Order: sequence, then structure tokens, then C-alpha cells
Amino acid sequence: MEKKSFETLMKELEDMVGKLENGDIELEKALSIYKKGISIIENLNKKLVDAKKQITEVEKNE
Amino acid sequence: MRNTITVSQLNAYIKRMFGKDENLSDVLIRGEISNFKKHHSGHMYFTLKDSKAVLNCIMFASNGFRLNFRPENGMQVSAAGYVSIYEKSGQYQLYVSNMMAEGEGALYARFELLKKELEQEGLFDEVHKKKLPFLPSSIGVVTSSTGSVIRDIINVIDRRFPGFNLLMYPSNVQGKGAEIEIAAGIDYFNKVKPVEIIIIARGGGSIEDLWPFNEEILARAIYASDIPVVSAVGHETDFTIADFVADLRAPTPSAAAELVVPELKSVINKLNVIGDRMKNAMDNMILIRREKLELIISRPVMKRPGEIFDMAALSLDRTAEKIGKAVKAVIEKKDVWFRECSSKLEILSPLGTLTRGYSILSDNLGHVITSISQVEMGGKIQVVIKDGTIRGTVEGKEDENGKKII
Repeated sequence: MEKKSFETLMKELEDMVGKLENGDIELEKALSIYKKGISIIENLNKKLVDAKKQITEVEKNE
Repeated sequence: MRNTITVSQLNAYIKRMFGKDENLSDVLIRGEISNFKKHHSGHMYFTLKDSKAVLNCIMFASNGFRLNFRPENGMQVSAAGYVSIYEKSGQYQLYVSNMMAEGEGALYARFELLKKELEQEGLFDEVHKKKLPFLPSSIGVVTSSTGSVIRDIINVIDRRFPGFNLLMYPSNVQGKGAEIEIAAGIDYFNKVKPVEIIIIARGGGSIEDLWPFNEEILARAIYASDIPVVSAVGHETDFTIADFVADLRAPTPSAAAELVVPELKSVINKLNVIGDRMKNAMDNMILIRREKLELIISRPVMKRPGEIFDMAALSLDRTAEKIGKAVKAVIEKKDVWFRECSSKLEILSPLGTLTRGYSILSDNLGHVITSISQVEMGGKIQVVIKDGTIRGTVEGKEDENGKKII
């Protein structure tokens, strides 16, 4: 999940919610989609919180 | 009395004179280009003029390649070179080694020229522009380390997304060579310390101040960048070539900061909304299924499930009865038949016959006598009757017609 960009994951979430709101799927499948979706949301929230404060002036001689 | 000399001799003499004069060996002439002609060879012929006079000029192709602009009639230029005479024509001219376009008019002309050139090459094409990631992991800013630009960018980013990862590559943003420094900054963020978005930024100024952002070197560096480049140059209305090549143009450095970083609050909100929608959808799915289940449970058959068994038991009993009756009937029938057979047997049984008064006649060896021929006068016979045996002797016999035999 680390490789996928924020936008890709957001889009996946939208698709998942759409499926759940549609309601036309089996209960077990719905539960599995729900679990995956909640896990993605937790992961994204973590990404936002982890952003570190760093305003760095670069050393040109690197 | 003057000596008579030839034309060639005179022209040669004048050429030598020009050659000896230091002043004429390295001059810088300011004027307006006119009658410009470029031959296939690449050599350029034109005149430089001011309000009062004209000067013939020639620039050989070997020097012409050095030009950083395309000479056109009407351009104000400074031309460097030496003055000499072309002996054959007797015309003196400026042999131009290098030229510089001067004045704002010239700058705009150069700008338009380069813009057209690069546009035709495809450097401005939309299809080549890269999409900016929604949430970049880090951003690189190439700008002056002094001044308000970097401060403004930091402030905006910090306001929208506290704790964001920002790197700054300090560079001159005006003056000669600035375009090389900025290009180096882009290269740095591509190769040495990769970021996900690069911003090149400077504040407002005159066309000369902004000129590094119109240079071809910088335009090509932006085009070659694998990382999306955002140009944030000058005032809202200024457009530089860098703006056309960049993947995104921001009207000001602060605007660039707004465009590259999302607002943390709105992103968190978006995630919360999606989370809620998921939970609600899930709850709803479960509720619908529970209701369906309730409906089934509430059906009468579910309330008295025993009923089915009772009904089955009842049915079973009835069937058992029927079977029982049928079996009985069969048994009775058999019974009757049996009794009938028994009576018949009794009647036919020899013992029964005896009861009725019949007897069995046999000789004294026990052989049953069934014919008169089996006995002789005086033979011994036995008679078995109902309650015993009588022994006797044959006294005579007759056949069935009554004819006496003995």
C-alpha cells in the first residue's frame, strides 16, 4: 500500500463505498470490503500525521 | 605634382591605414539594423544606421553562430568588431565579431522569437505536462535565500499543512547566469535529493529582471525534468517562457504554495466523511438482512414448528391404521381358506372316513385289499374300524353283480 499514491487510494475508497452503498453484494464480501476500506483510511490518516517539519536549506556542495 | 597611382594601390593604402589605427581595430557601434540579408553561406550583410548616417556591416557565419538572438531590421543593437576596407569595392565596412540586442523592444522581440521557436519544437505541449501529486511527500523550492518570496511560500504552506517537508535550493533569480543556477537547482532536485514537486520562484520586476526565466537553457532544463515543475514568477500578468514550459504556472509564489499543498483539515475531513459513509453503508446492509430474517421468523409456521410434526404423525397414524386393517383382512381370508381346507382334509382323511363307519380291509400282512381277487377261501383278513381291528376269515366272495364265485 506504500507504493500507491494518495489519489489512487482515495479513488479506491470511493469505489469501495459505492459498492457498499449499492448494497447488491453478499454480506461476507461486503464485510471484507469494509475491513479493507477502514484499513486504508487508517493508513492515510497515519501518513498525514507522520509528516515531519523540515524546512532545509540545501548544501550546494553535496 | 602628385604621383599617379592605381585604384588598387589607393585602396590597399587605405586598408593599411585602417589597419594601423588602433581605434578602428576594436570598436563597439550602436545603431539600428536595416537591409539585413543572410546568405545561404550563413554570412550576414546589413547596414547599421542612426538618424544621420549609415554604415555597411558584414558578419561571417563563423561569428554569427555566437549570436543569442536573431537579427532583424529595426532592431537596436551594439555591434563589436573592426573597421576595414574591402579593396575590391573600395567600401569600408564593419566586420562584426559579435552583436547584442539592446533595449526593451529588442528584449520583447527576442522573447517572442524564442517563444515561437520552442512552441514549434513542442516544449509547451499540454500532453508533455505532468500531473502534480495530490499529497507530495516533499517539495523543492529554487529561489533566492533572501527576500520575501521564500518567506511567503513557507508561511502559506505552514498555514495549510503544518509540518510539511520543504527543501530550498538557494539561487540567484536575476542577472547574468541566474538561469544556469536555477537550471542547476532543478537538476539537483531531480538527481541528488529527489522531491515530488519543484517550484521555481521569484518576485515581480522588469523584463530585464525576469530575463533569466526567458532563457532557453532554463526552458530546456524545465522540459527535461522528470519531476513536475511549477513556475511562480513575478506579477500576475507577467508571462515568461518558463511559465509556458512548466507543468503548472502559478501567478505568484504564494499562489504556487496554495496549489501544491492540500489543506490538511480538508483532507482529514474527506477521510472522515468516507469512513462514515462506509460505516453507514455497512450498518444498512446488516439492518436489511436482519429485517428479512425477522420476517421469516415471524411466519406462523416458525411460531408453531411442532405443528408440522403433529400433522405428519397424524398422517402416519392413519396410514398405519389402514395397513393394519388390510393385514387383518388378509389374515382372515387366509383363516377362512385354512378352515375350509381343514374340513376338506378331514372329510378326505381316512381317519375321518373311519369315524363315519367305513372300514379298511387288509390281509394279515397289512396289505390293503381293494379287489376280490386278492382273497381266497379261508384266507385271513383284518378289518380296521373306528375303534380297533377285527380279525376274520374269508367265507366266500361275489363280484359286484352278485354272482357267487366261491
